[in-house]
Amino acid sequence: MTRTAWNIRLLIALVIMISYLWGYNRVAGMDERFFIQSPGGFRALLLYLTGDYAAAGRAYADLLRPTIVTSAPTRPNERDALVDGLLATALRHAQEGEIGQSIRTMHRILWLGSPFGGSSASFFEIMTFTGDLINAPSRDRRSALLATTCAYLQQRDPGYGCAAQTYAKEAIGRGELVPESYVTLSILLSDAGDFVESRAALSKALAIDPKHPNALVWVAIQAGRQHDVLAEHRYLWAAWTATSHDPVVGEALQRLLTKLGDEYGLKKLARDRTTEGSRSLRE
Amino acid sequence: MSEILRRFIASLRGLGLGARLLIVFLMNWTTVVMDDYRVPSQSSLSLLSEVRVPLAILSLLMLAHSVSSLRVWNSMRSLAKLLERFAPVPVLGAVFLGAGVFVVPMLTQVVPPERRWLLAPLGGLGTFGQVFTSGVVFALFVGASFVIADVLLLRLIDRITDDPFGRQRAVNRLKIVVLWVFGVYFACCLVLAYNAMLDTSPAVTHQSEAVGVTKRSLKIGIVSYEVWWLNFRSWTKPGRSEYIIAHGDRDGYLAREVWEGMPLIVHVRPGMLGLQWVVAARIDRTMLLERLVREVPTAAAPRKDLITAYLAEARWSDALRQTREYQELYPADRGFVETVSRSIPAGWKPS
Repeated sequence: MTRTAWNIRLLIALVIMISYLWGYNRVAGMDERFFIQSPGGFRALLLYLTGDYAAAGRAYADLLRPTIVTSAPTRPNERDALVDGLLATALRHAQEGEIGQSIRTMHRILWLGSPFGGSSASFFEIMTFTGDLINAPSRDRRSALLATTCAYLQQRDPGYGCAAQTYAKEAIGRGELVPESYVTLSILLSDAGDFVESRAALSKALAIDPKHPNALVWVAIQAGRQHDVLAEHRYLWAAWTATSHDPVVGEALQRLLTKLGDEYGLKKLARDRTTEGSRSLRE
Repeated sequence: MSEILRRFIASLRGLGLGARLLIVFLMNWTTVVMDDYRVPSQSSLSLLSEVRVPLAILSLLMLAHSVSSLRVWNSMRSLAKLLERFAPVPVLGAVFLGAGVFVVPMLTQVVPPERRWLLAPLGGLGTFGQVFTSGVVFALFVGASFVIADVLLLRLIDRITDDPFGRQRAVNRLKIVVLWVFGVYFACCLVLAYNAMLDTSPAVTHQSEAVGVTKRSLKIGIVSYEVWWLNFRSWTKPGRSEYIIAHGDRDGYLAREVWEGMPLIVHVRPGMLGLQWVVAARIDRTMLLERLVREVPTAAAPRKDLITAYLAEARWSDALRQTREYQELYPADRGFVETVSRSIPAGWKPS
C-alpha cells in the first residue's frame, strides 16, 4: 500500500479560508464609521486593527477634511449633538487635568447605550486621544481615564478594541479614582453580558462611597434596563439627591414617577426643582 | 425490509453515512430536549449541556468525512483531482471578489477621472462580488473548511503510521469509542426526554427567587457558542441555589433582564422517572407588585395592577384592603373603586 501524497495546496486553501472567515468575523460587528472607502480609509483601518489608535485616529481625521470627503455629510440629530457636546466636555476636562470630572462625563456617554450617536469627527478625536494615552509611559498612564475612552471605542467595536477592562482593573489596583473605575468596569461587564459581575462591581463602588453620584445613576439605569422598577425608583431618588438635582436624573425620575402614577412623588420632585431654582437665582 | 435494516445496522456499526446523518439529526434533537425539559441541577446535568457543543462539532466533522469519501467522487475523479490541484485558485477568487466590493470604490478615487473608463469592467465584477460579501461565501467556506480539514487530518494519520493493518485497527477502535460516546450521550438525553414527554402529572408551582444568570461562551476563531444559565433559590434545599438553562420563550423574559432577588414562580412537574423538570420559571408579578406597593405606597399604577391581580386570583379581602388604601390616597378616582366593588361577588363577606 502506497502512502497518500500530502497536498500542500489543500492546506493553503484551508489557511486562506480560515483567515478569511476570521477576518470577516473580526470586522463584521464594527461601526460603519470605521469603513471609509478610500486608500486613506483602508490605511486608517489597518492602523486601527494593528492597535495604533493614535495614528489611526489622525489618519481618519485627515480624511474628514472637506477636500477628501466625497460623500455628503449627514445632518446631526439630537443624540449626535448630545454625544458630541459631552465628548468635547470630557476632552476639555482631561486637558485641564480634571481627570475625575472627565471620567464622570465619559460615563454619561457610555451609559447612553445603543444606538451610539456622535459625529465621526468626535469619534476619531477620541480614538486619537486614546492612542495618546496608551502611548504614554506606563508609570504616567491615566488608566482610569483610558479605561473610559477604551470602553467608548469598544462599544463601537464589540468584542475587540482596546483592553478597557484591563485598564479599569489597573486603575483600581493603583488606587486611581477607584469608585469611578468600578463604575467603568461595571459598564464594561454589562456591555459584555456579565450582569452579575457588573452589579458586583457597582456594589464595590457603593461600598466605598454610598453616595457616589455616577454609581447611583448607573445602578438606576441598569435596574431600569432589567425592568427592576423598585431598584430603579430607589436609586433614582438617591441619585437625585447625590447629584444635587441633576436635570437629566430629574427627567428620568419624572418619567418613572409618571409611569408609576405617583402624584405625591411628582409633587415632591416639583418642590425640589422649585427650591433648586430659587437657590440658583439667589446665587 | 430486513435487508434495509441489516444494511442500516451495518452502517451504524461501521459509522457509515447513514449513521452519521442520524447522529447530526439526533444532535439537533438533543438541543431541543435540553432546552425544553430542564431538570434543575447543581452540577451533573450541566455537563451534559456543555458537552453538546464539542459533540456537535465532532458530528459535523464526521459527516464531512463521509461526504468527502463518497463513492460518487470516484465517478468525478477528474473533477475532484482538478479541484484538489487548484484548490487555492477558486478560494482566492472568492476572497478577491468579496474584497473587490470594498476595493473598487477606493480605486475609483485613486484613478484620475479621464482614465476611469479603465475601471468599467471592475464595476461589473464589483456587482458580482456583492454576492460574495453576503452569507453565501461564509457558508461555503465553513462547509469546505470542514471537508478539507477532514481530508488533511486523514492524510496526516496516513503519513504518521506505517502499518496499514495497525492503522485500520486503530480506526476501528476509534469508531467504537465515538459510537460509545454518542451512544451514552443520546441515552442520557433519551432518559430526560422519556422522563418529561411521558409525564402526565400536573405541574406544581413553587415560589423562588433568581440569584442571577451565568453566561458560558466560547469563541475559537470562527466557532462560537453561548449558553445562559438561570440560577435560582432551591425550594428543596433551603439556602442553596440550583440552575437551569434560561429559555426566553418559555419563561417570558430575556436572560439579561434577570436580577438578584427577582421573584419567580417555578412550574415543576415530577417527571415519569422521578426527575423533577421545570416547565417554566416565570416572574411572580403579584409578588413584584406587592413589593413595589410596600416601598412606593403612593404609586397608583402598581397598586391598581395589584388589586386587579388579587381579583383575578379571587383574593377578595386583599383586593378590598388595597382598594381602601388606594381610596384614601386618591379619593377622586371613584370609577376604579366602583369597578372593584362590582367585581367582588355579592354574597362575599370579609371573614
